Amino acid sequence: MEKEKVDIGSLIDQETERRLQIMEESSYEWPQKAGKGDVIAIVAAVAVCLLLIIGCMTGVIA
Amino acid sequence: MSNLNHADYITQETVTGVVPMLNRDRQYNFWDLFLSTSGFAIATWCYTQGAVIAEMLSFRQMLINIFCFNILWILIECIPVFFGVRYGIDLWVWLRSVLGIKGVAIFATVISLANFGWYVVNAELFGSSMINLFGYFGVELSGAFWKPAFGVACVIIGTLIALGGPTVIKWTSRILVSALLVVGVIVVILCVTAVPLTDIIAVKPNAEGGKLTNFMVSAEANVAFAFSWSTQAIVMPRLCRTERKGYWGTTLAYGIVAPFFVAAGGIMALAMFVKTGVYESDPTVMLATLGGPVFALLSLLMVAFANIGTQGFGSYVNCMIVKSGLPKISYRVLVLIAMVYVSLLTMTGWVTANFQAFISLAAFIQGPIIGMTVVDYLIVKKRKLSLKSVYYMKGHDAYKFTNGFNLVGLGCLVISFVVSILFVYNPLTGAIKSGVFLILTGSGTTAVLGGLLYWIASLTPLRKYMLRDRDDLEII
Repeated sequence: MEKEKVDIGSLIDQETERRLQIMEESSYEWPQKAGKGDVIAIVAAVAVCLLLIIGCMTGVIA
Repeated sequence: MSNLNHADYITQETVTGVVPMLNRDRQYNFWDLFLSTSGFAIATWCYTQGAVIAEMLSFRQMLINIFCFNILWILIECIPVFFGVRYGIDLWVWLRSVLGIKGVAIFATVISLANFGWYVVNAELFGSSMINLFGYFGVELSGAFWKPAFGVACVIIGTLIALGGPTVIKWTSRILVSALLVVGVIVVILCVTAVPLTDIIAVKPNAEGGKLTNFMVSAEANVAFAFSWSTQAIVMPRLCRTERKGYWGTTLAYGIVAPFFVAAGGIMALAMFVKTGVYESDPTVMLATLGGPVFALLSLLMVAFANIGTQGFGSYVNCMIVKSGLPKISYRVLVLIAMVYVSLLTMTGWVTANFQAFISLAAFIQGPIIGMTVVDYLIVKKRKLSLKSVYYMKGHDAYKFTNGFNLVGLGCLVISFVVSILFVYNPLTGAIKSGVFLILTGSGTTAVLGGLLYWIASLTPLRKYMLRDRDDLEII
């Protein structure tokens, strides 16, 4: 049982190391990044939500 | 283990473990993530939440409160999804750099134990809904036996889904969630037509406590609801292929789909109030009363599938969280332990009896973690992490901190938790301690304070302690 635990632990470490090496290679293709459109959509949605909430808190929206 | 077992184990560790997921191994597109996460988000507790809020607010304010507080906080707390997708890791792996490896082991376990409380409630609601439905069709079942029995059955079926991992969850979700979303829309339309919409809108809220106080007490419930996803939200996106799909697949599920079902619960509770004078939160009772046998059957399907799907997804996600802190324990073992744990709690009924305190306290722990994670990602670490240090590769010890504990991160968490309870809002008693609650809510305060303290700490000499990784950013 104890031996198996050690094997599992070292197996995870070895696989992690192997994957990190692949990610370190210049040829590794990273997932496509989010763009400006995403940032604008987030900021706009947050702003609209805040406006509606403030409207309710101040009694403008009954 | 044989070589074949090794290969199997590595595959399992990739999708149900903490090994970083390479871009080529990702299985999920936007719809897979959105539907899986929606399946997780749709549960009977959504209706309970909506029914509680419906009593305190006008119809319009109820909708704004439910959607805006959820969308606002979900959009913010899910910002770290971007690193989850980029590095193929989950939140708890990143948190090793904020709380330390032992800090993560402790909080990942504590928060998962608390999160499983939601699944106990889920199972109990499943049990009571089944009994109500059988009763509606003339079959009287003893609640003392059948409620926990149905609940445990829900847990066991959910466990089978969880044991299948993301692939089974993906295909289960594709079919079930699509059907559930359609059913949810039909339910709202039928509810509104069963009782005139003008009557629903005209219901006067309970004015006790004052309008602003009621609005913010409802907000506290919604912020806590939004926070409840936070520590679970950044586990699945690592399976997604682009940052955009990962972020929007997650946020639209938690920020739009879940609140939609909360709002549906609110609308149904108002409709029930118009018809019977009682705010009812059990969807099966609501639908059977408002629409008759067809609605009752519809609600049976909705509750059964939604709760079982939630059990499966929730078990997977929370076992993944525990694995982040205790990576050497087998995923299957954890899922089975979770099944026993949730089943036992379901049989005792202890969680439901202490539900409000249980959930609010969990939100108060999650709040500072949300604040610190967002600040850490965007401002302190500026979106760069030492991947080798976070996995404790030989010669990379930037995140070892003090015997495995990041004292700065843990200090910010504890201070935010204590200050918020003592001076802003006590979730155990429901006592509002200061006007700050009427601006930020109690849970919101923990997140803002946690982030603020962490940022201030990074401006002091503690920065050197917090950012030992700047010379170790080899994989970015």
